[in-house]
Amino acid sequence: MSLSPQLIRNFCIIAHIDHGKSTLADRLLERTGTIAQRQMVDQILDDMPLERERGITIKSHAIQMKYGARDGNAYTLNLIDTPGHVDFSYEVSRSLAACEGAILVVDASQGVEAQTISNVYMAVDAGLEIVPVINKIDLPSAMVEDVKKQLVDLIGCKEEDILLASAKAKIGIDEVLEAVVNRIPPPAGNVDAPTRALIFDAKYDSYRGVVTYIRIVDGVLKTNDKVSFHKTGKVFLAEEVGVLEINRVPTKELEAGNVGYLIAGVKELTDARVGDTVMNADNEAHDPLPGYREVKPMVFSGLYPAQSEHFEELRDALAKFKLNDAALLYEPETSTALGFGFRCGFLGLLHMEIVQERLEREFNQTIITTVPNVEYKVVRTNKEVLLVDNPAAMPSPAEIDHIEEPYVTAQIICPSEFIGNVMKLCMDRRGVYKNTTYIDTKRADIRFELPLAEIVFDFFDKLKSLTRGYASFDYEYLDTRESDLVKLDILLNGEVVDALSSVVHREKSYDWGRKLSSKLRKLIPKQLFEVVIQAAIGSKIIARESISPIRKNVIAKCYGGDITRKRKLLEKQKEGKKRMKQIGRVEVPQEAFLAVLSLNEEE
Amino acid sequence: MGQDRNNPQIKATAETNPSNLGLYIHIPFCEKKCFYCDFYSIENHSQRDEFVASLIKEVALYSESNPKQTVDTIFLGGGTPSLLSPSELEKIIEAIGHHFIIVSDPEFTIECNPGTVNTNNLSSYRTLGANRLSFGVQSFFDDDLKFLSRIHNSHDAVAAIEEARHAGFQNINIDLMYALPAQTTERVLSNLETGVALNPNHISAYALIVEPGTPLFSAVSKGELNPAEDNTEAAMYETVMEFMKAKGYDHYEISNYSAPGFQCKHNLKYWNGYNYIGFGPSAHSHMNNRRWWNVSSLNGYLSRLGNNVLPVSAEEVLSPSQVQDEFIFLSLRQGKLDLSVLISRFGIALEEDFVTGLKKSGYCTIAGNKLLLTTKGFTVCDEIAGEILGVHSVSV
Repeated sequence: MSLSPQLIRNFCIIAHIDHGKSTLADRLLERTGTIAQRQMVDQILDDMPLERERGITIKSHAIQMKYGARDGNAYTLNLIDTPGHVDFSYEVSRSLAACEGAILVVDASQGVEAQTISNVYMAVDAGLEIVPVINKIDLPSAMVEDVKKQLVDLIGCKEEDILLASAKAKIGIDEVLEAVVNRIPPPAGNVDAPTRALIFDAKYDSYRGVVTYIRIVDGVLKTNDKVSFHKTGKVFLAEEVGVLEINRVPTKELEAGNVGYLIAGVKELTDARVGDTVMNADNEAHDPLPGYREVKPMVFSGLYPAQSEHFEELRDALAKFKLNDAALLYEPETSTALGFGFRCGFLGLLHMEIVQERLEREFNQTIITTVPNVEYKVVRTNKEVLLVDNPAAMPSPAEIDHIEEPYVTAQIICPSEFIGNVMKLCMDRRGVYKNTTYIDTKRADIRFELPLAEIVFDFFDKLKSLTRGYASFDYEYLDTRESDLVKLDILLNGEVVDALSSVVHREKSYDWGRKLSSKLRKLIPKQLFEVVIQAAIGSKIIARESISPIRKNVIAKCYGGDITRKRKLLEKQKEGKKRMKQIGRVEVPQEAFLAVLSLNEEE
Repeated sequence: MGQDRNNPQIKATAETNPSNLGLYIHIPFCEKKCFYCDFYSIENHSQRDEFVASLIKEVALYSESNPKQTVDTIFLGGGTPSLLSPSELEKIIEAIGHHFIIVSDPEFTIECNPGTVNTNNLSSYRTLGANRLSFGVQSFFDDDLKFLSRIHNSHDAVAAIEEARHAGFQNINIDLMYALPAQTTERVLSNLETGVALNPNHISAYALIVEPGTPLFSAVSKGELNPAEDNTEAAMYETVMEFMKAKGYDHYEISNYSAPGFQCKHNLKYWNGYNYIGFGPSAHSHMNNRRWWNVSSLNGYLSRLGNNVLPVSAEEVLSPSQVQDEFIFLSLRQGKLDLSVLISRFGIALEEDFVTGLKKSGYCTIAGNKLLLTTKGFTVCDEIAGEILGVHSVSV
């Protein structure tokens, strides 16, 4: 039963989105017979419907394969799949810590992209052996030689170390498996030392409680061991340990170097935190393993039930959601416009979108989302520092000494003919230009420092359209900087609608206010009473629009006794009105609260 | 001519009693189907005999389980009831008289197409006991009538009304339409002038509605016709209301105006949530919060009755909240909402702010316990109803 660490390889696959990571994973599973071809569905590790639909990986996954290598040995390969999107880079870093090596997949027709680079840096920082693979070499547009040069420049490998593959056409799969066995070092670690295991992921199973995914670093973890979680100090009984094949497969024990799962009757994810160290309670190790840095939300927004009586339901849904998404932060908040809801912190815009979509689809919630914003550091005139993650909570201008906002380092890789467009976009977004390097003769790597708030609003879509889809983009938190920011309020019939307040740069505020008012005029339907929309900074009105009252809504005929049909028409109208938010006497449709996001469409 | 529509001597009938039934009989035949009309009717009259026999059977079948109910309004609508021969109508009325108890002075209306009446059938209606006629005049402009695919012209309309008076009818309604595509306000006013000059006891003036499933609807969908814009229609509606009021008519429902005492008692049963039974294809019935309706096809109707089964297509039992919703919107359609009834019957009140807003904007006035719609209020009657149903009522 005992498994020699010499015969274990723990690795992950890193890639820019759409470069073929999930397809390659599918092939490895197929080739090793981990899953029969007839059971195979595309993107087998992405088991969330949303992941398949969008072709992205949101959660980390782990799976064990047995591989009979050319050297005659049977190896145990643990593949830890990672998300590719920038929002989920914390998931990537977690997975990396459980591995000794990484397969770096680059699309032969696309070459090195922004997330290729950021992922490589993370892998190198984690001390992983990198196995570069150029994928999709069978595409007519493949530029294998160019991409080879890019890779040599990026990771300093030799050209002959680069593997050529097509996961789709099943080319080069064996070579990848051989490289995993031959190039990635076996796990180090001492089987005889006190047990230490790293939790690299955890999920909530409604029948079993928390299932932690662990990498045993030292020692052995056995069923019925008393285990302790370092951070919380809580002790549990290891009900079940095992390895992760397509399903969980219980084993008696897990030894140093291996990857598997632990079920220990833990009911709350907070008791088994990702990054924590699992130990044997009867023989505790001195030191925990290095954990992960805490995940920090970057983007905030209010989530409100469309109908205020559904607040409790939304709270339950968020609590359940949080069981499987530790990165989601939320706390109750009250809006005068929207009633009771939650201020939520997200890793980024994609994360926010995914949370909303899953709440609606999987938890059946109809929610109103307010315009996303970043967290501001407000220094008051009395030097008191305030962190503001909700524009409505911004103090009045007289109380503010200055406001600081988060900046990121943005990396944009695009074909050189689009450099001008990218520069202009970044300058428009208050960017500070840093430098441009050339990945090869055709593609540039442009670095800017940008206020995070400026990339929250439809930056990526804009970037894509300005570069005909060729640009890739990544960013990293940099620092906070003082900026001339103002709070822009929207008033409906003279009342400030807190959920529509935003923080914008003073120079852009007039333009912004005008566009937002005009957009709201189009989104708010005519009603019985005139609706006046105003944009204001403090008490100064900077834009005004009005919606004239509805002129006609009456069905002329009601004869023949068919009351049912008329009533049904009215019931429909009544339901429509119920779905809108009442703000004072104004009925505001849900879309209006996200109006800001699409403002630039109308330019 | 020259009769005073306000003469109390000829005041039509006594007030109806809510515990008495209204009877509606749907005659599903037209000489020609109007291109805007969405009531059920067909141009093929070959099954007329079978229809009359089936209708009589329906009346009998219904009465088996509901014997001898008392009726105080009868309404023959369609389609075109005046297409049936006097003897056919007589058979129908005879069956009704046989199975129901009819009060001594019912309101008995027959809908007439001005192109299908003559001295003979008018006097036969009198003999049958009919005391109210409703003429689908629609317009006094021949080009409008042609556009609406009506079979009569304006001269027919005037003549029909005169003949009806000669035949002894002292309670006459005329239907007029406005908001026809490209219709001018001048024409709307001219129609009203001409109509009022004929001294009817009742005018139903309603806007053309583009109903799904009609040829008009497809013409509009294809862009061949532009319906009147909301602004135009609302302005015309206000003109109609003001005009009729100035002429002494009581505006007692969205599209209905009567000389004092000449409200249509049968229609009021629909609008007040009273009980009524409908016979014939597509006819609707209401009895103590249960609504049902007949199949909307003559063939379906005939075959059901051929099997001795009532031709009911579907039914619904109103929930308390549906009863409440109906009360609110039907009251508003009559221009008045009794706030004390809202409280006593349904335990709800309107939000005060909302009512204040309505008053301030000139949509309503408050008189005693009643919210009364103004002319402007009528133009957005359904919007106000929707607001009350959806948002602005509170439990008390």
